[in-house]
Amino acid sequence: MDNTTLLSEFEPKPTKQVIEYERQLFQARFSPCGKFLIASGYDATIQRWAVSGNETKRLSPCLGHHAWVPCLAFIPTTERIVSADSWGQIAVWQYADETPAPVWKNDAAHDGWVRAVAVSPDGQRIASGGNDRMLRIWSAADGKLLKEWPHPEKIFSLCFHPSGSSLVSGDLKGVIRDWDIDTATVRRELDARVLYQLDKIQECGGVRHLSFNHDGKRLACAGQKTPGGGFSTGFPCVLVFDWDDGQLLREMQMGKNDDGFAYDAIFHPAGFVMATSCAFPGKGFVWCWTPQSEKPFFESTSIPNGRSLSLHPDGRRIALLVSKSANGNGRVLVQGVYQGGSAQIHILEF
Amino acid sequence: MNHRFEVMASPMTTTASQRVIRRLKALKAYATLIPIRLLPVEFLVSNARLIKLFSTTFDVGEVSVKRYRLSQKVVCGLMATVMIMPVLHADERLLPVRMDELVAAGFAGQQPAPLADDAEFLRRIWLDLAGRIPTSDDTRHFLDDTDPDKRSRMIEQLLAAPTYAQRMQELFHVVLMERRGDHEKWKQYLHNAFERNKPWDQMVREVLNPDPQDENRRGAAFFYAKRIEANGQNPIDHPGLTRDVGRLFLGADLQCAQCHDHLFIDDYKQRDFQGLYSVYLNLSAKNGPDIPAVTEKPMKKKLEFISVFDPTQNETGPRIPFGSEIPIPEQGKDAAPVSMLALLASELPTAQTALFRKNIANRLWFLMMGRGLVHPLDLHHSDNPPSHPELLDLLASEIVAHQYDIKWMLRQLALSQTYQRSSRYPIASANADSAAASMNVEQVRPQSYLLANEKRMMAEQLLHSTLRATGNFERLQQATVDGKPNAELTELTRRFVAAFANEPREPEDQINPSVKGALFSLNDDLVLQLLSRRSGNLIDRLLAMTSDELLADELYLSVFTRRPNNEERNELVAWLTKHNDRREKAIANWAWSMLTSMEFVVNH
Amino acid sequence: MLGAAAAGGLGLGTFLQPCVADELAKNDKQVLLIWLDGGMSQLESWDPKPNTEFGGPFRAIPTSVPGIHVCELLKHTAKQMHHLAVLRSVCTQDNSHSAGVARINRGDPKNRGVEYPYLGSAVAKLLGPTSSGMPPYIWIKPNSGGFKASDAGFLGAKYGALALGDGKPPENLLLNKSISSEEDELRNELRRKFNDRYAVGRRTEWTDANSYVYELAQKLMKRDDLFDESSFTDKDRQRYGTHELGRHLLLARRTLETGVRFVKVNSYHWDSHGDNFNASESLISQFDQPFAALIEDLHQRSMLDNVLVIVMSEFGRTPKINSHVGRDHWPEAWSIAMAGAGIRKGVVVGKTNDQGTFVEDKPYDIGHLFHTWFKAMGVPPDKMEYDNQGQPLPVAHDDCGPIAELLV
Repeated sequence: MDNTTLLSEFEPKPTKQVIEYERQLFQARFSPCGKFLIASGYDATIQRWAVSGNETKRLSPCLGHHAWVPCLAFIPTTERIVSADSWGQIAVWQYADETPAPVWKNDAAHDGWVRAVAVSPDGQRIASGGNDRMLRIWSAADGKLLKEWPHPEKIFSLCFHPSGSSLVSGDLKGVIRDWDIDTATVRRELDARVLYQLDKIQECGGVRHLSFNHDGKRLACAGQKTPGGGFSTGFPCVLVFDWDDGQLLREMQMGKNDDGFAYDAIFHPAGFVMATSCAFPGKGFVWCWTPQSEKPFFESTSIPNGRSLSLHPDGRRIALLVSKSANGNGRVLVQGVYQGGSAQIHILEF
Repeated sequence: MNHRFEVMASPMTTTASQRVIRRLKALKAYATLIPIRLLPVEFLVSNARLIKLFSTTFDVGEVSVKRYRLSQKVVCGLMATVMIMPVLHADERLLPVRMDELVAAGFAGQQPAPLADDAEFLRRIWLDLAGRIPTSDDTRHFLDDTDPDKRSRMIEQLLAAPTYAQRMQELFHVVLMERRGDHEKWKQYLHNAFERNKPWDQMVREVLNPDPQDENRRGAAFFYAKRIEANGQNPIDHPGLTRDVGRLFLGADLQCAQCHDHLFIDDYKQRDFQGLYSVYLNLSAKNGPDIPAVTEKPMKKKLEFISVFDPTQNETGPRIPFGSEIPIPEQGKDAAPVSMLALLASELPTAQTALFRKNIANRLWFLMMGRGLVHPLDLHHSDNPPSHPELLDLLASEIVAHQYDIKWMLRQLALSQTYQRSSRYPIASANADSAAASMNVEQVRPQSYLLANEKRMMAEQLLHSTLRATGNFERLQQATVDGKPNAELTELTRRFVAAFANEPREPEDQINPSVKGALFSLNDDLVLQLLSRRSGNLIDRLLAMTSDELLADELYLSVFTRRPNNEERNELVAWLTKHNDRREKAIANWAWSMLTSMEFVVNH
Repeated sequence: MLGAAAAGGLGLGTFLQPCVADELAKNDKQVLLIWLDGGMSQLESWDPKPNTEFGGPFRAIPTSVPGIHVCELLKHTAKQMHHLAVLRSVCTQDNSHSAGVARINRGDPKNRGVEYPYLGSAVAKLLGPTSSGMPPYIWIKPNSGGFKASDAGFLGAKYGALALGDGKPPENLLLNKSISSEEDELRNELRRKFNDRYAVGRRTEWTDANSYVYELAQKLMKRDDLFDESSFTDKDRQRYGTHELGRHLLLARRTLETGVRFVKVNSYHWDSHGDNFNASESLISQFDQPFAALIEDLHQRSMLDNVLVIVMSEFGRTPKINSHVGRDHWPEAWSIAMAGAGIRKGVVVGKTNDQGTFVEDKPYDIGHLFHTWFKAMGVPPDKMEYDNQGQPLPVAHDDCGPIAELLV
């Protein structure tokens, strides 16, 4: 399909549905059944909303994490999710329960910040990795450690190939590795080094997100091109690779060099990538881009500061999580109170 | 303070005067506005060329009147409405005498140092007006001259010499650009201005509203263009430019009034900064290949600002600091946009802006006397009063009365005893009980002017003087065959500036020895080579001397601009005798020690 | 080289400024200031608030002092906590770099219409060189070196910093080849004689200043070994790290060993408005490793009782995490760490609230710290004033005083 056709069919349009949350969130995802929207936060919680038609209803959160919960993944064939926090804990939850308690948890799964978790397509295994440069494979059912091996760099992102044959890791330095889990060896490396830069004395960037399309022929990885230190300026960028030959198909660079990180990039079954980026308030895009095309068919800054995108199983609705947290130096009080940031989940529709 | 004014005028309201300004501009007359604070409007003054209507006496500083400098023809045609008024002071005595009296009034019974001897005077006046020391022959000639009026003649000679424009160009470049960098067109502009003795108000007008079309004036744009050029990711420094205009032309550092009324200086208000800033926000650098230039976007509305301490929304249009707001003129739909720079240039450098006239008076005083009457030079405000308020007022009104003639003012300053005083008290003899000898010199404050203050030598003065002293000046002044400056001179200039100039944006207003400068003097190759024998240079001349006594004279005249005393002469003779086997080296080392000593590196 | 007699001939008296009393001449206290330019986050370093709204992702870890925790990014430093003192209730005035850097470096004294000196220049003026005679103020910084007069403010260039750009020696350090050391001695002797003669009947201020910079220059010329990086051991390099701040802190150790009174080490680009937590991981570890090694070394060499070590920035960073996962400028409540001469060991002074947003007990401004440090260095109370050509100027803010809990 050419861009005009794509746009006529797949232009994401805001609905009036906006979910407010009082703290910042990392990601908000529709459950595979489409009945829940699950989000993980800066506040050590996992938030849940029941989704029914155009209505959402906030449910009680999953509690028991520490600090940040940047990692969240659904376990196929079950009503479970796995989450991980920045203090090294991994937990699995029965997310549809009225008051979810952990099915299992391991508070020393890693030393410190877990950056990524991924679940094998058969739902049996959970992979995790983080700042401790360890890759660990867990039994999804009971949390038993199945395998572990050191990773050459800090792990920033993980995903399984839909065939289950490969675990893919993305690191700080922009190297993507195709792991054979059975032998814990690297089959090959893909080059996403444009997403990393040593800027003066600061190591910047990294592969912030990885995802395959439905048939596993394409891999999208998200981050920032020529990332800088300090204000962390760089171009939001998604690289799409042909998984078979490992070649770069399309470098999707967006906006200006202050439009931040592409934090999320997902494939629509129709073959295009939807991505979003976030930077300082008011900056950052949502865009849709098919790798065959030189240009995106859709780009919008009308809802800036996107942190994650999730496609409802109906294929029509999208949950766009955005960050609402003004920047500014020094003391800003609202009625005498120092304000933190918050989040909004916008429901868009094709 | 009462002054007598000769007045020629007719009454005129402010609106009327603005109408006249417009008419004059339409006539393309040279309609410089120089509002000064004067008197009831009935009175205006004539200068000698115009018809005298009547005379009166009034106080300076009461009422505002506009003055236009015009060709006589235009003036006559507008006689009914236009007024002209050079201010003639009532006190007809010479200005230097009056200055000295006002300085002496602050001595509080303390004895000032005697006048400098001829050698000390000569070195000082050369450094101040020519930017270098004289040659040994110049010095000999002056010392041996018996004319009692020789100092005045020397002052005249130096003010008339081509070196004057060169010196002033170098000096005002450093004062105005503070080592941010240089530009050939800017150099030419300054040189040309001082060569023609352009009035200061006119120069400032040209700097504040540079004309890119005018070949002779476009270099003036460098003052703005350099300050607002892009500098990496930093925002364009419009606040810095605003601050510098206040500092350099009004003597008021408004930096801390950018975000709120100044906390410690009651006179500096946030609106004063913001009013000037509102003009500069619309300015951007637009440098051509070889010319500095700026462009100005039209000002559409007033600038809104709030204080960080008070959330009330304020706004201001263009404003001369400490003056009233200038209304933004109506923009005709198809008319060329009204230039705020032009407006600023017509309103700021005028006698009506009290700080404008005081600032230049204070800066010229500092230049000659080594300490501002208001000091630091950019902190004119009521809590930092002048050391000699009447003197500053006198100088400020005199420079206005003399059309901001810098050369004239420098002459007046140079002729004063205050300038010509010695920088040291007489060396106390064993039985000395004179007041001067018993003074504790460490207690003398620079603002007392009991002694001539020692002054910093700019890197350029030090370089020229070093070249002069070592007899390398003429050789290095000669350009290459294809007209380029001598490469060694270019490199020496770079190194002297690197070693002795302040860092960019730092005013060079006090003596500032540094380890960097010391290492440079101790070890730099090029400097030490100036003391190698080379045909016609100092070492060469000295080696040709027939006696060590003559050698000593020539060396001290060349480097210290004076003859050696007996003790020094004998020491040198002994030194040469002792190092007779390496005579050239011995002379060079002695000369090096002189060149690096305080007597050489300071203007005293 | 000059012999002992010649060195004696320089005269100790000319090194030391007239304002320096005899007892100060024996004071060989030294200072190391580590300046993290742009603002290190207090929450990711000295004052963690784990698992709170503004606490960020990191854990707090125990230190060598029971009950004191720091952020996990300071894992090496945590083991040296028993040497350190941390002030967690710093509350300063400026949230912009342009004003903040100067204000903090100058100790924010009351405005008296003069540019106050930065701490290094102030110490150079108040205490002068140590008995080593080495230049009193050396600044180790990235990129270009040279002589940085602007730190000295109204004190004048002679109190400015000698900056070693990336550790390299200054220009013109070596004696010119055309001059023998004997000649050098003779020509300088003459120069001093001419200056003495010139000074008679004049204020001595400028002549003294001129002599002073020549003495320092000559002393420095004799210590060019300072700049030989090859003489560090591999073990040292490993412990400090081969990155910029690691190399510079190792050079700082040697510079202190040669007797330089005040050493400043600057690291730049700490202004993490975006992606603060990845930035902090990258940056703070570059500080943590060599800093811990340095404290350990100074202690082992019995230098720590003599050397005051200070770690600071122009401000801390906002508790609030902005949309760009960054932290902005926060002067309201931040931390400064110190150790060594005159400073209590293993203490935390002051407290912020549970959210880390504001100081909970008494806030201290930089003026208090300048008083504290001058006292720790043994500047006598009657020397706490400059004489700026007749204008008396307090060396630190008149309304502040030393913080007793930080002092031994």
